[in-house]
Amino acid sequence: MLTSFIRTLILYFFIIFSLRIMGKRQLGELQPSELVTSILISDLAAVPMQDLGIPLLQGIIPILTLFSTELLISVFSARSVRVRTFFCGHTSVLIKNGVINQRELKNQRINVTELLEELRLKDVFDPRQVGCAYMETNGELSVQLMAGERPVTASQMELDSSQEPELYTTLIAQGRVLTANLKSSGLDDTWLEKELRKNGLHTPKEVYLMVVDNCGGVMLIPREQFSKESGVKEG
Amino acid sequence: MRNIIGALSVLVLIIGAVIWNSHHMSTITGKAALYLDSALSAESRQDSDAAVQAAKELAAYWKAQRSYLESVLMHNELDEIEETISAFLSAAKTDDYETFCASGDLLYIQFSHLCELEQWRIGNIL
Repeated sequence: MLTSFIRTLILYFFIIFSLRIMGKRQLGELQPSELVTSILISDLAAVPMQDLGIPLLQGIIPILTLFSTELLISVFSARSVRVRTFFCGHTSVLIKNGVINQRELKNQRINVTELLEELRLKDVFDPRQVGCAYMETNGELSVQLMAGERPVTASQMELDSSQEPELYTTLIAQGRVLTANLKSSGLDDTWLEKELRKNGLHTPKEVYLMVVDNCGGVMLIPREQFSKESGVKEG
Repeated sequence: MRNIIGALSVLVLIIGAVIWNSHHMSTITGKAALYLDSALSAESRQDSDAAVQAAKELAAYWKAQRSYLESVLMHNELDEIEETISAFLSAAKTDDYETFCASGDLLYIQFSHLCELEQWRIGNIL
């Protein structure tokens, strides 16, 4: 028990250290400590499950140790930049003002083909259009285009976008009314009944999906079993 | 703050449990070794009845600890010790001196191995 506790801690920090050495691109979408926890817990849980000769405590204690340590690290990471940098690393600038930072690319062990591939996935085909490209601590690439290359926004065009819907709230999902969403949208059952009747329906059970936006627009999809003509109705 | 306290409490609880387990394991194996000692010394005095009695007490004591030991130790290690205790007891009953001494020595090794397994030693951890 003691051995497995200390071994778990040793392995945990050892794997974090190894992943930090390996670089961010190995991580995918998880932070290093999260990835380590996921890898270790899946394996730790599997061993006592498969081998009945191993006491359950031999699996539970390391898992609890990992969870608690992960929780502590995440709390301390949120509070201290140093702790966060130690466990998660720091963001790297790969492209600045259209110029590829070759040294940083080498440090991160990313070749230029991979960088171009990541840029293409962000719909950028020319690195010179990039104002700044960051390799985030979770291995994702964030791209900010040069000011002249960014799409024109409504505010730049001085257009009134206040009437454009921004917030969509689901009110009915597969026949079930999401009461909390209905309340948060400032609506009630009477309004819902009225909306259903307007679309030729009687009960929420006949609705597959009903979404309302902040401008009052309603999207309603009836359930196939209740409607011969299944399709989106907008109100 | 609640998260820190919760996580720290779990870690402190685990550390406390492993320290207690280490202490408890040495108590169990120490007491079992005492029964073993008295059985072996009785046999060396050629007091077979006392040796059988001490061997029976050892077997009963080990059986009483079984549920705890099963929850913290690998079951195959426990099975091996139980086999040795059973051989030790039957050798005591049949006055088979050689098997009695051999299984007694083996039990010493197995008990000390169990005790060492739970000690705070760098060798165990590595």
